[in-house]
Amino acid sequence: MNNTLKKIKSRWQIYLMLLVPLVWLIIFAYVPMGGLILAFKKYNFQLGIFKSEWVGLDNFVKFFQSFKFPIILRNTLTLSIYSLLATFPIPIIFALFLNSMLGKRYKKIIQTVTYIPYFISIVVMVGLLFQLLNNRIGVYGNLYRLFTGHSAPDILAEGKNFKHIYVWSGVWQNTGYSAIIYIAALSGVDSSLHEAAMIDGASRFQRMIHIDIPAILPTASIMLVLAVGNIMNIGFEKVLLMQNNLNLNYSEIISTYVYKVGLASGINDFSLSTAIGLFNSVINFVLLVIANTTSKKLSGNGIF
Amino acid sequence: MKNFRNYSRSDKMYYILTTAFLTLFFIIVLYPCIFVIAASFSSGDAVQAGKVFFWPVDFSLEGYKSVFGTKTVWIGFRNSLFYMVVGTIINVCMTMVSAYCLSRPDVPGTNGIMLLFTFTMFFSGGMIPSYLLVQKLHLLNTMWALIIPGSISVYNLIVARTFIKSSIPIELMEAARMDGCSDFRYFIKIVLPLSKAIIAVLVLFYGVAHWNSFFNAMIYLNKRELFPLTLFLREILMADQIDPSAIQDPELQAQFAKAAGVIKYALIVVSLIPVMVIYPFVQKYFVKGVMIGSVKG
Amino acid sequence: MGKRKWNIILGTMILGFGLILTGCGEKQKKSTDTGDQNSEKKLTVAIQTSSFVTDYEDNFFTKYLEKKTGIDLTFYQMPADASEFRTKVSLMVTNGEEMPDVIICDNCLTPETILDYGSKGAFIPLNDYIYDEKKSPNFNKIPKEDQDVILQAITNADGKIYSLPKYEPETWNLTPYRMYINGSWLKKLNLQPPETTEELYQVLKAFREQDPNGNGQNDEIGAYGFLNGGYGEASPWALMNSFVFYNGGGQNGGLSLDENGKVIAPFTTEEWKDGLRYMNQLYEEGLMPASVFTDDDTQFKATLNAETNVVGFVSSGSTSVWGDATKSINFQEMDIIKPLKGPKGVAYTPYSSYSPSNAFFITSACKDPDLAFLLGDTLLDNETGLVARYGEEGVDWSREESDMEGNSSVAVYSGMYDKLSLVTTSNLWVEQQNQTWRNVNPRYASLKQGTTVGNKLIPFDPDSKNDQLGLVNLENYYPAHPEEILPLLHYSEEEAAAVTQALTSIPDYIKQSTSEFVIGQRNIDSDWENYKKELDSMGLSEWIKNAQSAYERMKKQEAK
Repeated sequence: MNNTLKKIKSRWQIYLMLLVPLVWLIIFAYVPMGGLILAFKKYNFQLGIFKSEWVGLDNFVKFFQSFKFPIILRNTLTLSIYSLLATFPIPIIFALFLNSMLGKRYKKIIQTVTYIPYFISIVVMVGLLFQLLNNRIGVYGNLYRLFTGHSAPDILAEGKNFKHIYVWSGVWQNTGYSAIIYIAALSGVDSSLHEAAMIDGASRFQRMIHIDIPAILPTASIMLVLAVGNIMNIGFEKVLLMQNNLNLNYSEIISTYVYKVGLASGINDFSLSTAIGLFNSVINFVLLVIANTTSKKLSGNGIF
Repeated sequence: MKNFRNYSRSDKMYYILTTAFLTLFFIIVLYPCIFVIAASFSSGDAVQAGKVFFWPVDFSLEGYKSVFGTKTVWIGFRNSLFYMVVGTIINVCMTMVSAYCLSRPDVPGTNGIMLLFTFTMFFSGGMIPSYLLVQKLHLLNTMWALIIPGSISVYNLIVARTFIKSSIPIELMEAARMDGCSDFRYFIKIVLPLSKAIIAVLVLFYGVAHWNSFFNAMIYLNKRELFPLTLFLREILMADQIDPSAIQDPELQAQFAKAAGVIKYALIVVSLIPVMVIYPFVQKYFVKGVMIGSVKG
Repeated sequence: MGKRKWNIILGTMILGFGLILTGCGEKQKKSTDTGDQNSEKKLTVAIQTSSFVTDYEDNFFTKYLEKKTGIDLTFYQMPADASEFRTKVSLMVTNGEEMPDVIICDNCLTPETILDYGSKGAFIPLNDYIYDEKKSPNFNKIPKEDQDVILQAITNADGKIYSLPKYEPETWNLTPYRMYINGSWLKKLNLQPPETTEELYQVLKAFREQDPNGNGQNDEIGAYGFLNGGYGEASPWALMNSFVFYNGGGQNGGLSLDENGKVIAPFTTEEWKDGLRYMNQLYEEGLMPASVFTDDDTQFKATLNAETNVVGFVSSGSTSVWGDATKSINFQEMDIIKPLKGPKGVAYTPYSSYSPSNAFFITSACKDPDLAFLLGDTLLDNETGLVARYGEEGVDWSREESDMEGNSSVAVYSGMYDKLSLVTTSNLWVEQQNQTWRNVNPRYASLKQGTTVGNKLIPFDPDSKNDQLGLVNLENYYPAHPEEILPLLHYSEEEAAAVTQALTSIPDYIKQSTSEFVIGQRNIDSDWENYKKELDSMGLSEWIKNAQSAYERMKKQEAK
């Protein structure tokens, strides 16, 4: 204990520097957190958050018992997990390849272009997607007819295709931007390590395995932990835009459903949306803690 | 590149395969960019009819005229620039300071504080308590409502902290301490200069986030003089999607819908401007060898 | 990096914090300022903005109103998007004292929301003002028939009125499911325009088999449309109306009245089944593609405007889907047809009764509600209404005989009314302007006023296709609905809670299941009982019960 106190005393500058951020955290993050209690109340704006009527788990029950709950839960999890599996490794591989590429100019061009789609609004991306996949007049339809002479099947009408289209269009749009962190991390790798390895006769591939990958391992493990902790936050706007009447059984997820509930009567049901948000958050947080502990055990890197 | 012929066979394979993969990916990803540019320079009718694929159809500056011709848009530009610059400066300062302090394994309690920060990423009271808080602090309808509440993104904090932890060895600090360097000086004189890459990343992430944000502006601001560009762009987009049943005249309906469609592409190009401007500066720092000299020294 | 840079940054931070404090100080100063000046007449108005209006303060209409009422107006600029507007209002009501005095919007708040805010005190009740002729001279000048419709729309389930209306009926928009057949293909194949569903079937078959667009490819689509369309493009609903009346789902979630005045769900009737069978037959024989159920707006327009026209039949409320219709070859090929007669003689079109919207609210934060109501009532004045909608007289519109000469409108030409009341003379609606608020305000304009407006820049021409559409619409579509129509229902708080689940899920479910039935993914005969069971589990019978009680209560209120 004495040792710790000594440490604290000698590190006083650090604690002083942390003062402003911590004050900010308490005021802007922890004070409003009290509003979470809305999940257990029936919100009446006249009475305010704290005086509104307490209803316990009613909001959650309403949510679980709603007509489509099992389906939307299944869809949410399918999309999240599939998304995670596809969109996590690809930016890393991309960054590794890009980093090892020869030809500086070309490298810079690729890097710049690949991260632009991230900024293209989701409305436009989805519209573009539909245009390309149109089985009559889209690129897909035209190519299909070119190679087989027949009219292409309407892949947008088949609900089971939804998840594939959703996930891979996400890879298309986000890889470049997600790779930035890894590219930055790789830029910090000491080139003398590479020189030494080359002298020892290592091939480029071996160098990638033994130098580059360990260099980004800490970053990658943290990113993975964060991604796991985001599993329930699957993108709402994109799914909403991609839904159509024939794929709703596969495309209705928690957030789009909640959105429509609020839309019908026009009244924003804050209690219900807070409850559902809380449900999502608890699951996410639990997963994060598990992922964090696992990561610390396996690689020594963790968030806390 | 000059010595390519001298590379070993396995190395040649490696470079050929990776470059092929990258090139393929590049082409696939290039397409939406080309499309957006082509569409933004096409006429509304052509875009609506889905005729645009690779190049502008019925070349027209309709979309850009609608955006830049809207007098109010310039107020938005000015405001967004301000929020972006001031906001990012505050963000980067707060984040780097916190990341540095929390990266120190010899400081008791950092893990606990990290947990405190991380917890807030998941649990938030939502719109209403935040709104009431901003109101109570008299920040409503001021520019600070857009800058202060979001001062630190915990996600970015985690990334920065990870970077500092893994690229700046603790031995460096011990060596500095022995030379009589205080924690604060160490931060300013050593950590920051070595963290150019991550600072660049933070500038990019925060800058972009500020430029494209609209939700907080929408709920906290009441006067157009303070609106960021995004709110004006949404106004334009809304006018574009006007409910045709609001107009009874078929001629008028047709006229209206013409202005529609093209605007969203011009908007994207417009919103990409600052990003395209910042990125080349930022890219400089993604260069190998930033660390050289420090370790050896 | 240098100490200087960091000093600068630190300095900025300190400056920043300093600015916050001054910002706080300033804000407080401002509030005391307004406190001192309650001798001047001021109101803060929160208005839903439009990007076409360049300035709300320096605006012709604003100045016109300020002069007419003597009130100084300041504006809160609210989001243009309806759902964002609603979100912002729901946040504003959390702190009653800081709300603006008046809120004006363009049909953004639903009856349930208004009842919620009104009954909990965020909006003040206006009954005493409205029923007092001295306080609301303009409202009381409104003819009794129109007044009744208005009162029914703005009176809430608790009997109180919390808003002022925007009432501007006309004939074009209530029946947007206007159907078109490809006239040039008909001519080529020597066929007559279809008048019944059976005839349509025959015509579509001929279109598909005989290559009327002459390009040697079997690329003709029979019946097209897109179900998610918001203005008449959902052709399946147009076709369904040859079997049973269905308003398209937009109003009251699609509920309607039967001959005895009882609320029913048309999508559970035997006639609905017949309609599904008809469309299923069309699909099975390749006369209606699956893309009708999956296309989005862009795909729809792309198909309509293909290089070679491939569309045989479609429905649409606006000709803008063909881009500039006057220049569109594809559009010129299409002819409008009357609502089709089904096998049992039913020939309706989706029709929603006109419901004035709630446009003006006075909040509890308003210190001078009398003044606020004066503003609202003034906006209901006839002359003010003309300026609000058409702009500045003499610049944007005119009543001079010389300007109106030789011009007409659909209603005037067809004999419904005698003559034009005014003509518009500028392009106010498609340009950036600071002349009006773009008609985002309460207003009263009778059917006669609304349909006797001519356009000087594009005079009426009975030979032009556009004006012909108006005439056909007035004669054939406007009256094609049952006599008794279910008005827009206002639910009480308990009723609203009971029907939320149904209101959310059922209309989408109808779209989804119709799609599945027509495509054959679900079997119309064997799956029908299942379908009805699923509707019940979503709360259909509760919904109908509550709708019935809401309807009866509204009828009683009207009688008062």
